[in-house]
Amino acid sequence: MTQDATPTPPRGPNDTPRGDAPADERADAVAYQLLVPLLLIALLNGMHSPFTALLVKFAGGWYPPFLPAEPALVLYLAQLMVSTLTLMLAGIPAAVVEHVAARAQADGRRRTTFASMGAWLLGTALLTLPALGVMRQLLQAQ
Amino acid sequence: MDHPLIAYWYFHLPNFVLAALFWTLLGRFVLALFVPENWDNYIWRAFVRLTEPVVRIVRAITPAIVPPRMLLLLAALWLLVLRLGLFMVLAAGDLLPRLEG
Repeated sequence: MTQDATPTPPRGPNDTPRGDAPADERADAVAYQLLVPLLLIALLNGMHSPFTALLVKFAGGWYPPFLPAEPALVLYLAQLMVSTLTLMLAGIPAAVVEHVAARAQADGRRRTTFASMGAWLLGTALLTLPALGVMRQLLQAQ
Repeated sequence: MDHPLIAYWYFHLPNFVLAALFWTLLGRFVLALFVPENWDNYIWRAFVRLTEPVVRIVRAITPAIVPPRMLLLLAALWLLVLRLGLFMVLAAGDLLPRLEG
């Protein structure tokens, strides 16, 4: 019985398309610990941010016409978008921190560090401040 | 009167470019699930060539922890944000094209 001599390319979480560094090299292991609070804060912001209402108002500009015009679905997608946009915007200062740190590295390779994740978390928390006001009003109304 | 496409070119032209890039990015994301990144097919290469400048910019402003394939979706979302921004700015200035008839 013969084996196929053609090597199979690796497919998995550490797959490296476009020659990027593998996942474990893209970040310090300790940096992963900040992912959970980061995502939770962004989720909270999506649920209560005043910008969610603004996105619902302008739904005609982004809501896919092939989806059913259900208000609940529009609200859900708006919340998802605000959460994701929070992470994207707050990720800019974190990327700047990584670029600065990469210049100090011998190989010049950009990695996510605890400091850059901290910047990301701080940025996300700052963007969530308007949502805190909405949450306080909701709690007072009850 | 001018054709609406010409009269409102400042809306239609950037909107068309952003929309074309948005859908090409989504197409590249879906294709990337089934084909190798260095596939030599000309359609795949066209997808990569068209979208790579946007992906490169998004990669620069995104933390390195984000997986490379996820960058395609983030780039598409940034383009959606730009389209929404264009829509809102023109709406604020009462410059959006009007439906006639």
